[in-house]
Amino acid sequence: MIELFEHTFMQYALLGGLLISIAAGIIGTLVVIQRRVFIAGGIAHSAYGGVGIAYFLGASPILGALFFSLGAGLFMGFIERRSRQRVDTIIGVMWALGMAIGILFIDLTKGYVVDLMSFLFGSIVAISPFDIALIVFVDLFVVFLVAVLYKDILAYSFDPEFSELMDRKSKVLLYIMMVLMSLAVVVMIRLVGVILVIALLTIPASIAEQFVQKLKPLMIVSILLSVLFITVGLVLSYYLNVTAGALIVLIAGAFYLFSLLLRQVIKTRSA
Amino acid sequence: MNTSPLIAAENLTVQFNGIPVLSDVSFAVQKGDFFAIIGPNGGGKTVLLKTLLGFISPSSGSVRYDGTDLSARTVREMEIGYVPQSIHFDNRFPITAFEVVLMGRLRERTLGKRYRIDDRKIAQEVLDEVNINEETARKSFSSLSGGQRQRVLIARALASKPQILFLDEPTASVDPSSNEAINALFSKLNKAGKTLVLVTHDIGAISRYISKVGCLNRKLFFHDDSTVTPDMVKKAYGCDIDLVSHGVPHRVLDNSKHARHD
Repeated sequence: MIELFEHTFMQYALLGGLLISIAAGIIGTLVVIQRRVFIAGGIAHSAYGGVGIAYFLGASPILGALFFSLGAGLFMGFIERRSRQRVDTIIGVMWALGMAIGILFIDLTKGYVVDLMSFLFGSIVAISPFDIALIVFVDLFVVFLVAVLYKDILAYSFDPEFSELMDRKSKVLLYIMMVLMSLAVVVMIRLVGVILVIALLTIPASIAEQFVQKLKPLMIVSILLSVLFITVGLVLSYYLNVTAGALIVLIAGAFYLFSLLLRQVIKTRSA
Repeated sequence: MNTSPLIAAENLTVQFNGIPVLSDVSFAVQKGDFFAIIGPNGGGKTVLLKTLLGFISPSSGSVRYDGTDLSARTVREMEIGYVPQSIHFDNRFPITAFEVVLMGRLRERTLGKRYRIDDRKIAQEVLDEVNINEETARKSFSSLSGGQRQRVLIARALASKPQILFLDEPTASVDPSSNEAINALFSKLNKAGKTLVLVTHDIGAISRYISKVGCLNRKLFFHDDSTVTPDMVKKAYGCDIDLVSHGVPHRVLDNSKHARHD
């Protein structure tokens, strides 16, 4: 197992996985408690539109994804504020529209066959030093903002109306949340791909919330679970020679089912 | 001297998808009033409160505080407290009762500022007032009983040291003994000069303390004292209800009319 990490690509993959757990655990917890899983999915999928346009223009695909997901996230935040009723429909439309734009622009890009699979399912073993730097930047940004605004985020997530009645400025938290989600989603796409981002964002927090009832410990447990899933998934995928992102999510999913079972056992015992 | 009422609603109409939920609602609340709005479920009581608080914009009509429109900054900065219905909260949200009460201090500790020791002291004081002990306050909000949650939400509103307090069914799931204590607390606040606006479908025990009452069922049937006439109730509920058998003490009733009604 030691010789496994003599490969530089595995070192990068593991380092990237550990670092991304920080943003994924914190933002994932917020996504789960705010019930914004569907919005996170919408942001992830509309990012593909940015990837397609970036290829077409010969620009960096990750930059394209960043612009698209930020735009989509802020727009969804705006829609959510405006009309509470049709938000899910609009998210669903953007979800599909983003993918469609991406596919069309990649078709139009001459002489360039992009590996769609790596975008859909991630390529953690292809992580570069640039990706690592980007993840570190996003981690620092997320940790800093969430630490500074912790009490406000907790209050706003619990009861946005009351928060706004007390402090009118607190409505910016919705947009801050959307920006943080978009950033986390973009760096996670590199790792597990667009399809599996939602799983890695929500499964650790969903497991943790069954056993932990305070926000800060919930974030920490989510980070640790994410580290566990990524590490185990990465190592196993090397030996089994399968896609790491998919295996990571499969392991996370298995743990989730196990946690539901465990929770049921605890409940019946204490009852 | 300022002659504008503290809160004035003028011809408020609120529509959802073209269906009127409130139509042409007007009333005035003076400083120090204890205004109760009764009415059937689905009659628009919560919508009216949310419109008064600015969470819902009316399709026509206006809400003024001290003569100034609700949208003005000065109104937003007024000391308004709010107790929403406790049933609307997520059953698993990771927050303790104490953390919920601290939210009442957000007007002082705005975005990015930390709570201070003073805020914790105030939170402790208001929790004492609603009879929630320290041990319960450390528990997760979602693990509390309906009545405890309700009292925590009342404590949260009190922690904001409001001059005007809006209450949405504040004693709905509270047990009878706490109910009386909470009503007495409201009365004490009112006597100390605070203005209270309360909506409820069960006027019951609170009726002794109120100074104004209106019946709401899309339209507001309102006149300027604390008397509920069978006529108002009939209009609001669309049928005759024997108020006495529903536990309303005789004092709130217009006895002469009620006698005729009998």
